[in-house]
Amino acid sequence: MPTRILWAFFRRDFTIHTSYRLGFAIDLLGVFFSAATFYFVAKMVGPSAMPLLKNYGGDYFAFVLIGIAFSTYQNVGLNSFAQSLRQEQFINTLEPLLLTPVTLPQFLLGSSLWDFLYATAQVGFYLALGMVVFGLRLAEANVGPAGAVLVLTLIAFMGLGVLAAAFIMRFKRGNPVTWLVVTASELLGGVYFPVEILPGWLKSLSRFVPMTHALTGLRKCLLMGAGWGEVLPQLTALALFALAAWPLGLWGFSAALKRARADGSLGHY
Amino acid sequence: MDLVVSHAFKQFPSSAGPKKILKDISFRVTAGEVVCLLGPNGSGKTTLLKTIATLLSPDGGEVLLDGKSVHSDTLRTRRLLGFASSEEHSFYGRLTVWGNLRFYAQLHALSPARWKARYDELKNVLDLPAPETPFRQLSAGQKQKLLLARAVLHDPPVLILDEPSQHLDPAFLARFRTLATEEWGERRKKIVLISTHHLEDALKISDRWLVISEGRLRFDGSVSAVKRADPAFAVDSFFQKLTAPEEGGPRAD
Repeated sequence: MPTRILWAFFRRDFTIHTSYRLGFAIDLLGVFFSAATFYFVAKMVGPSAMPLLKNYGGDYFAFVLIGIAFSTYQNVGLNSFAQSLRQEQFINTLEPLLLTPVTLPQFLLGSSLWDFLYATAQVGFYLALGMVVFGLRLAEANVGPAGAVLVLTLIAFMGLGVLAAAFIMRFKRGNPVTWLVVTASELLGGVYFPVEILPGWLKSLSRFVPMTHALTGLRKCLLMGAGWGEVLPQLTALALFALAAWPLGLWGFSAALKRARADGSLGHY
Repeated sequence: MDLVVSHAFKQFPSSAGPKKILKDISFRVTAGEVVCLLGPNGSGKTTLLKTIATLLSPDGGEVLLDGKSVHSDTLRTRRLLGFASSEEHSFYGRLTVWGNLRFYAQLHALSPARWKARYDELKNVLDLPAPETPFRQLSAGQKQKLLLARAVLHDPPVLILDEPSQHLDPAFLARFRTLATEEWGERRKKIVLISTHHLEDALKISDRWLVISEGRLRFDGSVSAVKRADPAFAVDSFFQKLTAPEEGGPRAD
């Protein structure tokens, strides 16, 4: 994939995003207040949560900070393509973009590249803030397997994001993919509490939510220093999600694009 | 190189059933030809141009560029074709003139050196506003010039321009006509298809007119030939006759 095209998208979005300075500052403040809120929630929960969190190091603040920080990737993966598409439709730039010799994967990846890098910066800020201000300890973190979990998480969510964009292309508003995945992740993905406390049938359902595997893998690696072998089930599950989501996403988006070209709704919003 | 539209049909869904927008449109334009596409509002001009530019797929018939369907290899088509829509706001308001055009130049794979040279050229030819001006601060006419610049940025052999003269001041309009006819048509041998509903403008741009009304091609030919045949020729009444409701209107050549 030509890097010049990806660079063009990145530079465009970087320039546009940083021109809204107040929005940038508010995003950083949002991270601070979110981390601070859960710091005090963790203080309230205190050692009572220890038995439930024994698989994750026993500290609720570390547990939840990783949950909220890395769920940023879920939001970006699911929303970035769809939001970019809708924005391009809204400002009438989708048709000019589709008149350039840019392939569908280049368009999809390029238009969300900035969002992913920005999300990475936000996650980094979450972790740095947690360590410097709130005493988060990641001394035992095993970065290699954590990176692999993260990459597979991103790939899986991006695939679902392409499918979500297909719904936006077709129906303009109303995105059942994002709604379903976000709702399921909040309840079953273990962002705020460990999935172990769920009733048996919900716990079984949580296996079908990519976030569950992503956060379990990341927490094991970052908080317990787990190695490759210990996160192999999570890596396998995420790879399977990615393998299922991408073909489905690309098929859905191509079909929606074809339909929009047929009924003249390409630039409609 | 030639552009062939062959028996093109297009319809859109509507609450009252499918609405036929293009009805069996056929014509051919060859390299170096500058052709005006005319028709009343809602006649199907933009639909036809968007179909040629691959933004819409035809429901019947085909569009061939140098013998190959424009819709079967859209990446090839987009390299060969420049399209200026009539939507003047289709740029990024937070980017400058330079930033907007550079973005599209990169998507068209222009090297940095080629882009720089191309920008300098277009800046003079199209009288572009200062490069550091944010798009949101441009006047309607300046935005129109940017639309033209984007269409010709990659120097394509085919130019499809949808109402390019709107918002342009008279001085630049005259310059644009010269650019389209002498530079792009005669000298560079491009295929140039320009839609407009300004008859006087069309007379100055091209002798070959395509007139469509209610989705049908009502006229494809030389206006001067019609003038020669009819000493009482008046462009307004000629156009009105061509675009009259189907039952009483004249047929296309």
